[in-house]
Amino acid sequence: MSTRKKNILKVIILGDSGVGKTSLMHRYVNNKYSQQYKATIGADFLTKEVDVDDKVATMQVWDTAGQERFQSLGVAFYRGADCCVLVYDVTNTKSFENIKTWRDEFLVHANVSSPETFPFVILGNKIDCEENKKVVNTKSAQELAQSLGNVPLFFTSAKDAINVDNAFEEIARNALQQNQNDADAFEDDFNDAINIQLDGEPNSCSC
Amino acid sequence: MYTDNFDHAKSNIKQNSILMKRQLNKYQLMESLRFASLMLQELRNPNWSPKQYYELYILVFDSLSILSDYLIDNHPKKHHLADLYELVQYSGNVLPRLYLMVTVGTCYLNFEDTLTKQEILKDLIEMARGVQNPIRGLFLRYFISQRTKQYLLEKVNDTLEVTKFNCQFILNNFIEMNKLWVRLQYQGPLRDRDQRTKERKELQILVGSQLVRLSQIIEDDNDKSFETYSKCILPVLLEQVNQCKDTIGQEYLFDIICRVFPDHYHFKTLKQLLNTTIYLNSDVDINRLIILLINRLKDYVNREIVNMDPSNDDIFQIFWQYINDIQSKNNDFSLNQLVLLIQNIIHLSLTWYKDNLVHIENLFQFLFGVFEKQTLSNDAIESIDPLIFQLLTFTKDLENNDNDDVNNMIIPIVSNSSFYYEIIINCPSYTKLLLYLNTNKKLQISIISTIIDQFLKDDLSSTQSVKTSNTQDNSGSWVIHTRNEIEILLTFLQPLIEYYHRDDDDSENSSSNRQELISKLCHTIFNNIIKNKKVTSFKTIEDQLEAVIIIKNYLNSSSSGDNSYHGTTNQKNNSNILITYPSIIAIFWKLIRMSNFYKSKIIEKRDYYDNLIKQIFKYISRCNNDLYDIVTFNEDVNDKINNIETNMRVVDYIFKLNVTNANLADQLGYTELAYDFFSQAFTIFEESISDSKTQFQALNYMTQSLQRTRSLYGENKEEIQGDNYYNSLIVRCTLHGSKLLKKQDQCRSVYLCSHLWWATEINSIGEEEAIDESKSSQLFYHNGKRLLECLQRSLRTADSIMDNVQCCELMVEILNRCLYYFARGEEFETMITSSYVNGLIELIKSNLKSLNLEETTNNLSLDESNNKYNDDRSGIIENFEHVAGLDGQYWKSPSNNVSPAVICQAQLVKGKLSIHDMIRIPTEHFKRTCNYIVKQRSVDSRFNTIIV
Repeated sequence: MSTRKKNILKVIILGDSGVGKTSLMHRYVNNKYSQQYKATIGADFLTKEVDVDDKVATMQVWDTAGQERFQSLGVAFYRGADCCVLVYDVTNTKSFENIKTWRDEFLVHANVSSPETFPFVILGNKIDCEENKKVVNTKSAQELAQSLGNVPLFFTSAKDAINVDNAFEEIARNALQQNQNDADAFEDDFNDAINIQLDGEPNSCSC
Repeated sequence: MYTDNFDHAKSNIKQNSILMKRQLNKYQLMESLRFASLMLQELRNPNWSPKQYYELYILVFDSLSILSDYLIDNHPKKHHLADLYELVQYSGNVLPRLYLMVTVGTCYLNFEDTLTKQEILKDLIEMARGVQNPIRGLFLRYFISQRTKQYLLEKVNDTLEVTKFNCQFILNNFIEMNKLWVRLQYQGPLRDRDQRTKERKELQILVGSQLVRLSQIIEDDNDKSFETYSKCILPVLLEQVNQCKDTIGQEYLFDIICRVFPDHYHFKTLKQLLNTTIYLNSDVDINRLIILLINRLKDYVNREIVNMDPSNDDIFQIFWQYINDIQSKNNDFSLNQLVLLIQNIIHLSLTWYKDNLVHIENLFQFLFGVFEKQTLSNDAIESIDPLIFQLLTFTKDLENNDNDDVNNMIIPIVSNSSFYYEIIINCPSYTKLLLYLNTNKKLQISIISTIIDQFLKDDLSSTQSVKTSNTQDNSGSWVIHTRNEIEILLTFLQPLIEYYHRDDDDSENSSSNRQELISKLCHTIFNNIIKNKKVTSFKTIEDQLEAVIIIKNYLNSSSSGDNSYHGTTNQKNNSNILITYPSIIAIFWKLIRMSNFYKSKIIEKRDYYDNLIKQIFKYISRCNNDLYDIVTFNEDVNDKINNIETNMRVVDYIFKLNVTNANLADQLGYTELAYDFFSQAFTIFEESISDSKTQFQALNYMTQSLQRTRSLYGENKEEIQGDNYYNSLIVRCTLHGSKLLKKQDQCRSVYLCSHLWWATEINSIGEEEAIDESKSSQLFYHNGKRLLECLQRSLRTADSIMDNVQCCELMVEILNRCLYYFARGEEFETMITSSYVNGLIELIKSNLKSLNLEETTNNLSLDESNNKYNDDRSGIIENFEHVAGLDGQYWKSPSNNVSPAVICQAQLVKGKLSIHDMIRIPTEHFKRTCNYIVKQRSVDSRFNTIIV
């Protein structure tokens, strides 16, 4: 493939409402943080040029609404993702417990080619909080990451910009790897598509 | 040109997308545009549901992203975007043409100066008007919005004009999208309305995304952003909300406006937002929107609370104005909604202006005004029962908790007793509102009960926490400061005090349960006064006494004003004080004991406290008489009182109260008062206690109490032996005993009265058994002659009883008394000699002999089957022994081998005992008594003289 081709890396951020998905995205893309809570409506993305291991790519970071009712059109945008980021709030046990649910939900709807190897990254956000408010301990987070197939785990703070860049560097690397794996399968996919066309009605080539 | 099979549509898009990418890799732009155009054909199909369309849209979007990356990378080396922009306009169908134009046009934005960019944007938004099908139009405009986002959010040329232009651009797009979205509702046949509504709810996020975009443009927090928002954005949005006249639209847009814009903007534009809600469609759930808004403001206040001036109540004033406006302008506003709204504003005010109860008072006053003006019918109030309950108890119904996050964000209120107390004391309209509900007693009562329960609960837990740890938990503590506060509190309780419910089956609502609550509260109030006396105006006992008298008067008073109920209310109150007065009397007792303590400590105020004690005794006497008058005078008026059983219970209770009063007076050395109370008790006994069992028990009670008195017979020997109060009382008591209806009661009562002539030490007040006999006779009232007379009289009565089983049992009981005196005192004092005891034993033995003869005869007469039956029974008798109780009833008690502590498990025998068992009772009893005598010989040699 020629060097001029720039890859688009699609990254989806999932997690319960209020864990800081939007804040993480803003911290990473714009290096900004706002104390205010604003619900995310639907799904929207920001792009950022990334440079991973000397390869340039455009990262599309999709921020999603944690509340189902703001996702009234469904989650079709999961399709074609190269990496999925699962976020929980270290001060909220429920958000941690839901990580697995979000992962399963993603795999069901994203229609990825091989769910076993699809890259996930887990972020435990809000580590800037006071120690006594933290209810999810590091050990159980590590155990969960281990059990989901050695998923990379980062403890971040969008507020204090702790570990956010490191985490997204890992995310970009994983996404790029996944993107290239998919590109290798490109020819099969293409042949598939041709077959369907041949089986399909002839009117599609009458234009 | 497009397929109606969804899977085919998807694979067509994928396949064309791949072909397009291949051509791009070969730099064949024209070919790739042709495939892109083919791919876009699938978006023309009007039959997809919103969700399906979205799925196809995402596929297309991803592909066009690749195309646009190519276009940007190769401009102007391989092509010029301006040429391409012209070129794609020749695409055959409108929709593909527009998608391609947007793709190319937005790429072009990367290279041009501001003016050209704005021209392109204007062109795009104009062209988009060409699509008027709602779903296709909405997605096309969504596409424009997504493609232009990068450019619009760029902060490079951030002049005010640019920002304004960008806002205008998004607003235009939003207005058009909103129109398309609302129009969808009115398309197609009427029967598909529900389907349309569902589709609209699915599509709403496309419209909402435009508001998100606007909020992103003004994200930088500075005055300029706010100016843009308040001048250019919000008025347009609110106008759209207002003009669309569509309920779904209004609710959704207002909701999203609240959510996506910064909360401090809401704080500043609160008036505008609120005013908009007044003019919304009547079926819009305004309260949901208001709660949402309040919750957004809450975040702001919580963050900024440190910087806020506590006296600044702007927010409240705006809401205050708002409810006034709503009341005057919006006639559709239902009472239901108004109550909810006021509830929410109360919660808001309590969260932010915790110490400013004036707001709460104003709100209650406002609601009271509305109620009064509308002269609500009973039904109208009943229909909002649960709401009123929540309003006045400051609780929220969590059961209606659906998935809506609005309900999840309820403002929590600490409804502890100190909070309730503050509200009751400081908000007169609160009580006014409660009393206004008097047509719905049930509601009133449940509100008051809820609050009292909290008082009692907090009081209990605070008492417990004081006991367990030194750090007192003050969270729920409340303090009564003045008499006026007591009166306010009692006015609040008035509905409960007057509450009278005939139907006692309903245990939840029975008036006795409710009155019990009041009784508990009386104690709690009093304890509160005592506990906090140092910081309140109840410093002296006299102050505390006045407080109690206020409470007492409230318990007895009927509500003024309501004349039609007056007669019956009086009745009801009268019967209610039967339950509540005893607690007042108990409080008086406490006050007396406290006064007595001060009397002994502060010598110079002896007389003062002495008088005070006498005065309190008078109050008690008054209460007693009031109670007694109710039972005796109102007999035929009130069927409840007429109930003989209740009557009996109450009279017995009053009798006992008098005896207890007498004991207290005696303990504190008020001889004459004690005598009066005893006399009063006798009067009640003579006048009103008619049931023979109760009479017997009452006399026993009296005997016990009299036996413990000390002050009634003076201190020196002459006084004791002379004619004194004690003497006259015990003679009266014994006389009553000897005149009881049943002979067995007479017998028992009189032998118990024998103790009245043989006072014994009371350990609890430090008396000890006198070793020195001469001293003993000085201290205690002893009169062996009269004692013996009693026992003789008792024995004569027993002997005259025809039933020989009973007669025998009574004799054994008398024997036991004799043995008691024999063991306690010298023969010359008690006059109970060994020969007297021996004679009694002989008498019992001969009686038992004839009884046992009867039993044998009885057994002989039984046939075989009965014999068998008897064997079975004897098996039972081994396990259970029957005994006769003090009142002559038969009891079943566990067998001998269990410890005495288990005796209390004895059960009353229902039904007839067999003759065998009845005979066994005195026999066994006598055996046990003999055993006692034999055992006693080892410690007291005098028992050797008694022949068993």
